Formats: sequence, C-alpha cells, structure tokens
Amino acid sequence: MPGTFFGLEIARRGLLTHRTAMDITGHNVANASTPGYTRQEAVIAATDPYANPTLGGKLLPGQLGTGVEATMIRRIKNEYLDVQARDSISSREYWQVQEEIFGRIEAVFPEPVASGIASTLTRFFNTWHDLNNTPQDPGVKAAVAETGGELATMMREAYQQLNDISISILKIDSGGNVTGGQLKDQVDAVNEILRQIRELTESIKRVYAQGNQPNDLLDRRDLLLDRLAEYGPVSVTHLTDGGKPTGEINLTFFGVDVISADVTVSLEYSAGSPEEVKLQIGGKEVSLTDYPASLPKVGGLAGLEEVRSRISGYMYNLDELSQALASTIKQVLNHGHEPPQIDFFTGSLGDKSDPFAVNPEIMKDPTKIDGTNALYVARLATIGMDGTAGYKLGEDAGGNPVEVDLADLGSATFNEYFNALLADIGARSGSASDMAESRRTVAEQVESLRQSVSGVNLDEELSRLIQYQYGYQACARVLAAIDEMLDYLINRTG
Amino acid sequence: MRVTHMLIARRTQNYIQDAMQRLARTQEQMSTGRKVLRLSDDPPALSQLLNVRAAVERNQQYMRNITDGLSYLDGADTALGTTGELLQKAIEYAIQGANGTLEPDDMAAIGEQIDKMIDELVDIANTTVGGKYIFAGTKNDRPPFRRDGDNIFYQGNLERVSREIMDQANYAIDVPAVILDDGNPDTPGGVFGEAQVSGDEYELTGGIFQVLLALRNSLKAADASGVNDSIGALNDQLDHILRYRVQVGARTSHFESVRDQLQDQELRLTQVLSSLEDADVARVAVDLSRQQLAYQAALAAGARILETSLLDYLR
Repeated sequence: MPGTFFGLEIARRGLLTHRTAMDITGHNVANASTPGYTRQEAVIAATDPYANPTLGGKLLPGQLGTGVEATMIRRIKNEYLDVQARDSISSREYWQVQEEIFGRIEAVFPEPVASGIASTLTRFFNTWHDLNNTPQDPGVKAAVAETGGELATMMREAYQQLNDISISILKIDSGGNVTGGQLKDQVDAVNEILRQIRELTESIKRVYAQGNQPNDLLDRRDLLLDRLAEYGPVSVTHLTDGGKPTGEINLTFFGVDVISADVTVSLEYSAGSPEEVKLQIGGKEVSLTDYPASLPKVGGLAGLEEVRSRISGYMYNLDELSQALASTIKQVLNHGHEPPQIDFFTGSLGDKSDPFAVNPEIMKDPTKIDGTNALYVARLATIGMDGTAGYKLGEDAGGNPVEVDLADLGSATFNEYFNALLADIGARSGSASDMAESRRTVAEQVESLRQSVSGVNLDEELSRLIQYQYGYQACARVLAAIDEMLDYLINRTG
Repeated sequence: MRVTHMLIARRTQNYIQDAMQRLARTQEQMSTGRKVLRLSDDPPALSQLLNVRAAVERNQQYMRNITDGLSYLDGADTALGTTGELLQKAIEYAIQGANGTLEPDDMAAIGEQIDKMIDELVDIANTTVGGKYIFAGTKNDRPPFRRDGDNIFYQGNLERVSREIMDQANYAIDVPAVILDDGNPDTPGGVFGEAQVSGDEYELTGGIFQVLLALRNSLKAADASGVNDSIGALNDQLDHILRYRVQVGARTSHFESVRDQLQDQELRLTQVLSSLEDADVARVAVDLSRQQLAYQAALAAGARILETSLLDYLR
C-alpha cells in the first residue's frame, strides 16, 4: 500500500512533465523561423510502476502507476534527407555562381540591342569601301581613322571589363600568389566553417558523453554542413558507439578528410598552360576543373573556376581578333610600298603600356592612310581567315597580285569570329541560368521534404500547447483534490 | 506531406518572385518590341541574327557604292552624248566647208567655229560629278584637260576608277580618257585619244582633239581636200565615242540589275531579321495579361493563406 502522500508525488510529476512539454513547445514556436532549426518533442513516458510485495500485504489488483516523466527531448529529423539536400545545394551553387557571373559577362557586350563591336566592325570595313570610292578624300580618311579608333576602343574596353570580372573572381599578384577575389573569399569562408564545425563537434561530444541530447548544437552543425556544401562536394558520416551516437563525424570536402584539426584549405595558382588554380586541402592537391570521375562537378568553387577559365578564353579570342585585324590590314596597306607604310593598328589588348589602338600618327593626321589599297582592305571583311599564306585579294592597277597571309580564325571572317564569341557567351549564359533555375527548383523540393519532417507547424504546436495546458490544469486539479483530502484528514479529524 | 508555416512563407516568396520575373521579362518585350534583348535570350538565333545584321549593313554599303558608281556612269554618258552632238555639228560644218562654193574667208570663219568647239570639248572633258572630274582617272580633284594654243595636255592619271558592287566583284565605272601612245595608229585610244608623257603631265598625240585641230587648220587654209579627209576622220571618231557610250550603257544596266538584286536581298534579310528579333506584339500582350493575372493570384493567395492560423481562433 503506497504512502499517504503518494498521490501528491504523481501530481507533482504530472505538473513538471507538462511544464517541460510546454517549454519545448514554446521553444519550437520561438524557433519557427530559425534557419536550420529542427523541431523537438518531449518523449513522455509513464514512470516505473509501484510494486512492493510485502509479507501479509494485500495484493493489489495490478501494478500501481507512479506518474509520468519526460525521458528525453527528441529531434525530429531524417538524416538521409540531409545527404540529398547537401548534394542539391552543391549542384545549385555550381550553376548559380556561373549564372551570376555570365550575367556580368553579357553586360560587357551591348549586342544584340545596341550597336557594339560587331556592327562597328562592319562599319569600319564600310569606311574602307568609301575610301576606295574617293581614295584621296581627307574627310573619308578621317572617317576611316575615327571608326578604327572607335573599334579599337570598344575592343579594349570589352577586354578590360572581362579582365576586371576575372580579377573579381581571382586576384593574383605578380609573384603568382592569390591575393583576393571571390574564390579566395569562398576559401576563407570554408576555413571558418570548418573551424566552427570542429568546435561544435567537441561540444557535442561532451554533451553526448554526459548522456544528454545536444539538439540545438546538432542543428547548428547541420546548418554549417549545409553551408559547406555550397562551396564543394561534402560527405558526412555520423559515428556511433554501440548504436548510440557519439557526436563525432567523418567529414570529407572534395573527397579529402577535413575533420582533423590541422587541415586547412588554400588556393594554389599555377601560371602554366593551361593556367589554373587548384585547391590545397591538408597537403592534397585537388583540381577544380579536372575532377576525379568519382566526384560530381559541383559547388561554388568549381563553378567560379569554370567561368574564370571561360573568361580567359573570351579574352584570348578578342586578342586573336585584334591581332588578325592588325596584321592583315598592315600587309594589305603595305602592298606595293617600299619601305613599308606605318601600321594602321598598333599595340595589343593585354598590354597596358602599349594598348591596342589606331596608330597615334594616323589619328593625328588621317591623310597618312594610303587610299590606293583601300579596296583590298575592304575585301578582308568577307574572307574566311583560315591561315592561308599568300591569299590573292585581287590585282592592282599594274596587274600585280595583291597577296596577304591570312590570320587563322578557324575559317571565320572577322565578323563571324566575333559573332561566334557572342553566341558562345549567350549559349553558356543561357544554359547556366536554365541549369541554375532547375537546380534551384530541385534544392527547393528537397528543402520542402526536409521542412515537412523537421519544420515547425504553428497550428500543430498551438494545439499541443492547449493539450499540455489542459494536462497541467488537470494535474493541478488532482493536487488540489488530494490537498483537500489531506486537509480534512489532518485538520478536521481527531 | 506535412506542411509548415515556414514552407508556405518560402513558397509564397518564390511564387511571387517567379511571377514577377516573368512579368518583367514580358513587359520588357512589350515595350521594346523585341524578343532578343540579351545574348542569352535566344542563343541558337543569336549567331544567325548577328551575321544577318552584318550582311544587311554590308549590302547597304554595296548599294551605296552602286549609287555612287551610277552617278559617275550617268555623268560619263551625258558627256559622251554631248561629245557626239558636238562631232555631228563639226561634220555639218566640215561638209559645208568642203562643198567648194565658199570663199576662203568664209571657210576661215567656219575654222574659227571649229576652234571654239575645241574649247567646248575641253570643257566637256573636264566634266565633274559631285566635285570629282570623271575623266581624270583617280587623280580626280582637279581639271584634267588643259589647252595651250594648239596643244592639249592631260593632267590626270591613267588609273581606272572602280567600285566594289558585290563581294569580291569590282568594276570600272569610268571610261579611259586617254591611253598611252604605243606608236601604232590602229589601236583604239581613250575617249579623247592617245597621249605621251610630257614632263609631269601627258600631251595628247592623237584622237578627237587632233582631228578637230586638223579640220580647223584645213578650213583656215581653205584646203577643201583636207576638209574632206577630216569628214572621214570625224565619222571614225563618232563611231569611237559611240563604242564607249555603249560600254557605259552596258555597265549602267549591269549596276542597275545588281542594285535590284541587292534591294531584293535586303528585303528578304530584313524579314529574316524581323522574324529573329521582333516580338509578336499580339502574343506578348496576351502573355502579359495572363502573367499579370498569375501575379495577382500569387499575391492574393499568399496574403490569404499567411494571415490564417489557429491563433485567429484562440482569442
């Protein structure tokens, strides 16, 4: 037979448990909008029943319940979904950084709405036709020089802006050291995230060792892992000891173990051909463009390096075009001239001290342009530049062939070569934003799934709050009833 | 599937953002009338679009070259026509002078007329079109012909003026004014005959001027048989000028037919351009109102669903 005050203890436990449950509900409601928060739930179970068989004691009809307790606070989470979520985040970021930067690359070129390099190129060769029509006219010569100057300026600006974008991704000093840019910022962020993950893991291990559930710390670590996945492929394994989690994890980034305390990530630039930047993870070298087949090409870092190498390609194309223009025009203008005429275009796009431009002497005095070969310069516009040496453009007044060593632009004319460059930018930009769009949708779907398991539903929490409130009130009622009974027994009897 | 408030809020945001993006894109198309506004808008069409546009601009240049060439050719045609009339008149005078009834004084008077004709012919040879002397080769910024007593000098050069009227197709638009004297009287000269180098210019050695000078001399000398000879020579010159005039006419019709062809081409290329880059306004307008509806629906649904919660019923 339990003691006199037995019922008081049951009521006390009931009050306590419902209070705990209400606190947890309150915690859930408070965190309804916290990113990465996983809803929690009190695991409520009846305490061990009272069974005290004594000699001569009257056997009870059954075991007498002793009340209730909250045995643990559970995190409602599906860890398998996390793997899928991180994969989709990595993939989304890979395309999203490309989408963003290709947007900036597109903005360098005013085509197709406004007139840019493409139409200036056509106009430039048209002025040579005009010069052929009136070979001595100083006004037309000035127009040729001006249009040439406009073309050179546009090409220079496009080149410079592409270079600016490239530097905003990766800034390298003269010694080949990485000094800044988005790639470096991302690597710094990765190192910071890794540091925080390691710290949190230590705390989590301690809490587990004491037999408690470090729910909110786990949430924070999972959120950090999600953020790490934005930068590159992540794989996480939770370690257990005899079926119980220890809080330790195995963590790899780009397939390299990064949980050990001394592992840092850094960027290694190699100027060779092709020039590229690689990741150094704890002494291991990881290429960002040339992945091992076992890893998917994902994450912001790889996306940035991918688009950076594209920009180098576009800059190279512009440079090729400018050199092809300069060399073929120079050869044609020199036809029949000994010693050679002054060059029409001078310098090169990448050279800051001698930038690509119309010869300053011609800009000063356009009459220095020789009009006799204007027709052959104009004809260059429609010739596929396939690298042929000694291509015959026509015959001069004396019946001598006008020959030129064509540049090699893969059989494209100047215009076609540039248009192909624009088309490539357009196609890649388009596919990057399509891919980013579809990856965003996928990531959003997986996030929805995750939310549907772990997210806080306020209506649900509110109904539970009411439920626990009633439970609490009822326990209080039990307490009051027993109190009344004991009052009667103690104060009114005898 | 369990749904949470955060999920609904996120989705509402996404839907509104999506709807707004589509709306902004359509609005852009609607107000610019173009469907290709950025390089990435229609990558497959882009390359074609840019190349067609370059082709249109090149075509316009060729048409400009042709128009310019035609004005040159017209100028040459008129000048040659006037020269022909002048020769006809000279032949009439010569026939008058050769009929043997005139006094030497009268013949000399006709000779004086012929002399004035030579001046007139120099003026014709110095015809300009748009400030350019059309019988001066490429040195066409000053009068090419100069008469100094009984000598005619040519100050132009012997190069031909040409225009590129199609890709890699270059044609002369002038007729040679003079041709270098090769000593053989049978080779046809330029419009105004043959010439040989004299200092930094050319002196005419044979041709229409020489024939007229000979006629004038014969008339002044009252040499009827000389005048008779000149009639034959004048007729030869008439044929000679006519041959050049036929050449000019043929070139003119050639240029005109190429121009027609280019105009036709431009029309078709412009149509291609339009189909590649112009927005179908009717369709865009329908899209716009449809998307506006979707946007308003997204807003309304979001507003309705976000304000409802159990809290509303717990007061």
